[in-house]
Amino acid sequence: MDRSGDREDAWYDEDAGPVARPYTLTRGRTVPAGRLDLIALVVARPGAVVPDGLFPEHREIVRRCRQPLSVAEISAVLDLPVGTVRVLVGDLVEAGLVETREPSSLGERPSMELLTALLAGLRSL
Amino acid sequence: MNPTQDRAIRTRLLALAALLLVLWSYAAYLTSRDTADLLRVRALAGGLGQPADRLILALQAERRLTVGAIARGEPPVTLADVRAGTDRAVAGVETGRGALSLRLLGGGEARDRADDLAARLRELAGLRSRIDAGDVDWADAAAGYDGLVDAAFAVYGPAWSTRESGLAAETRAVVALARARELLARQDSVLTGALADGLAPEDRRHLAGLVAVQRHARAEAAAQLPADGRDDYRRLVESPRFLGLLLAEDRLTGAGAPPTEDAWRSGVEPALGGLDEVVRSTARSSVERAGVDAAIALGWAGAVVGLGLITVLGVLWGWAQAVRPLTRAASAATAAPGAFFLQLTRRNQALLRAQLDLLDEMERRDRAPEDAADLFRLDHLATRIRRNVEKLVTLAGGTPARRWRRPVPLLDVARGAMAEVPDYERVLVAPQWPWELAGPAATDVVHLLAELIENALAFSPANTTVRVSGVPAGHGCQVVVADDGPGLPAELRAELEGLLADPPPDVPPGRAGLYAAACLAARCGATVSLRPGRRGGTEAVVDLPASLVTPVGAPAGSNGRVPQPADRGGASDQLPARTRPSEQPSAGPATVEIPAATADGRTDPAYVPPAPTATNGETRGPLRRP
Repeated sequence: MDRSGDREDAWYDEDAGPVARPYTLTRGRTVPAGRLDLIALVVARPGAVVPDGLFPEHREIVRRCRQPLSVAEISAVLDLPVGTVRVLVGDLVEAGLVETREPSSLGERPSMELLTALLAGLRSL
Repeated sequence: MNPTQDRAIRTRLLALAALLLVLWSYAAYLTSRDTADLLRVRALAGGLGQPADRLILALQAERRLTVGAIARGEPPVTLADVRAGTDRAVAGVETGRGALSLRLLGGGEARDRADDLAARLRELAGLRSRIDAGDVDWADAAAGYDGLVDAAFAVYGPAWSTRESGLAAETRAVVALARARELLARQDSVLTGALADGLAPEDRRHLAGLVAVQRHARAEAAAQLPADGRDDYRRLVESPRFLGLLLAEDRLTGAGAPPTEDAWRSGVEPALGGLDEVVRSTARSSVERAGVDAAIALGWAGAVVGLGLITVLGVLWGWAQAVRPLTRAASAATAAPGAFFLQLTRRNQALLRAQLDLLDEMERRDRAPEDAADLFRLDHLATRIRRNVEKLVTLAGGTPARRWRRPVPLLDVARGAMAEVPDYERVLVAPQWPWELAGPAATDVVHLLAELIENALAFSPANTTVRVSGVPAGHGCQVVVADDGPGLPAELRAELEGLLADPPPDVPPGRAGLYAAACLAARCGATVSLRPGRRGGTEAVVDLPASLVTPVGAPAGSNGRVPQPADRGGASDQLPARTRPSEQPSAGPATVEIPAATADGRTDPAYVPPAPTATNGETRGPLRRP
């Protein structure tokens, strides 16, 4: 039923946009299980075996996170909104497949700026 | 096409128009909120803040000179110049206040405070005439001016910003430093009066208290300043300009001889000047930063609000044009709405695509979960509008404008269908779809599944799920849409299957959804059948022949197991049948369908995700099939 003139008004493949809208990946959920900073590091649990019943995005996050990756990096690599990535990572933490590390717990001593900011914060209480 | 159908189309288009307007106003509200706030703070800073600033400086100068003149017994005529300066500053506040009431819709509290200040400033004339008449001593005169300065400071209130922002915090810090500077100016007036008067011991005690409060307030205010202001401040207090003041203050509070008036003047003047410079430069750089933010926010809001409105108006105009040929077609009893109608509907599709692209971009920015949820709601509304527009095109014999040449993962197709139905939170799509669908059939199959899912949602209780899964069948596959409705009597099922297999030329009343499904299936070469579900309810089965689907390799990490035909109903049996009683879309982990690894680290192929009942909201964790 295609008319020859229609082709100019149509867009194909990538141009047609995603087949599935982003909210379907989390069934509309926007609140992750637990707090997840943008720069929190996500790493796959050592020895965790990816079960069958995982969605491709979950599977891809576990696969990529064999090396620690930040939430922001996962979002860039998977080309998904950060909020969606937070929810998906939260799911994986719940399922025991990945662990998260807040960046401040990496064993460095607190910086002078942090201490100054803390002091200013305490003063303003 | 009969008049009833015509009316139905009009009603539908009107409902869509209303949805579209809601959609646009939501988006416009979200993006313009921050911009409006930034702009208001900037308007207040320019219109009211700067005149109030100049007024405070003028009142401080007039206070000190007046106190000095009274204490030394000089005639008031020497004050003419400084009073003229204050009058100009008062006029500036009046002008700013007038302009503000016009420019700020609902400037509310800020305007009330400006009105209060204007009322207080009318006391100035009375104060001056009492001073001229010699009715007040220097201390009372100073107290009179103190009250006016306080009223001027009250203009900078919390009402400037309705939302907490960097600019609001910086404004508070700058005002705090200006108030600390006022304490120093007050101290200056009192000392000017007291020195001329002979500096009684109680004056000295009072001054020592003022010095302590002023130093404390200064340190507190400086700690809150933004980084550049804090650096400027530190440089000032460590410079020789400040040293004179500190020495003079120490002599004043110490037991020895007090500073002479000249020593005090040469200490306090540079310090007051330096503090004023820090206040001004910090305020200026804050407002400049906010200016950049506001320009970005304004550009963004303009894009969203403007583009959105153009889209909405364009779509509405397109529909208005489309209805006319439709009604004409109805009166001529012709079935085809004609090329004109298709062309206009296509234009609407382009506008909807622009809108969805914009939403995509907005969803990508890091947002609070509530804002993200609002955006998802907008996205869902726009997606449903697109579904209706594409359905109109398809049923009129055209092809929707978004098309695929390359194969599309069947999971995306199922999710695409889920995206298009109301109540999509009740839809569970199985995770495994080892097939790809031929690109040209993608939109038809998406809309076909959406009709079946919507039907299943409508005919099953609200606390149950609708499960969508794929099973292999011959060389192709079957998509199963299972619900927990009451099920269909055999006769009715036979009638509906007849409709699905061979759609009549006219829409049977009350069967619009299945009629559309039948047309869509016929178009793309799929067949739809109905059967009773294994656990009750109904299963709609879409057969996708091998010409439409191709199997793809099992994804990495999987053990390659695909559902066997023996599992009738396939993966859908492994999806929970009930939604949680209190389930929200954002209810968190309780709604996650992720199988957990078993204790020994291996996966259990027979894993069944939690199937909570309607009475137990807390059941979770891996339940395994016995």
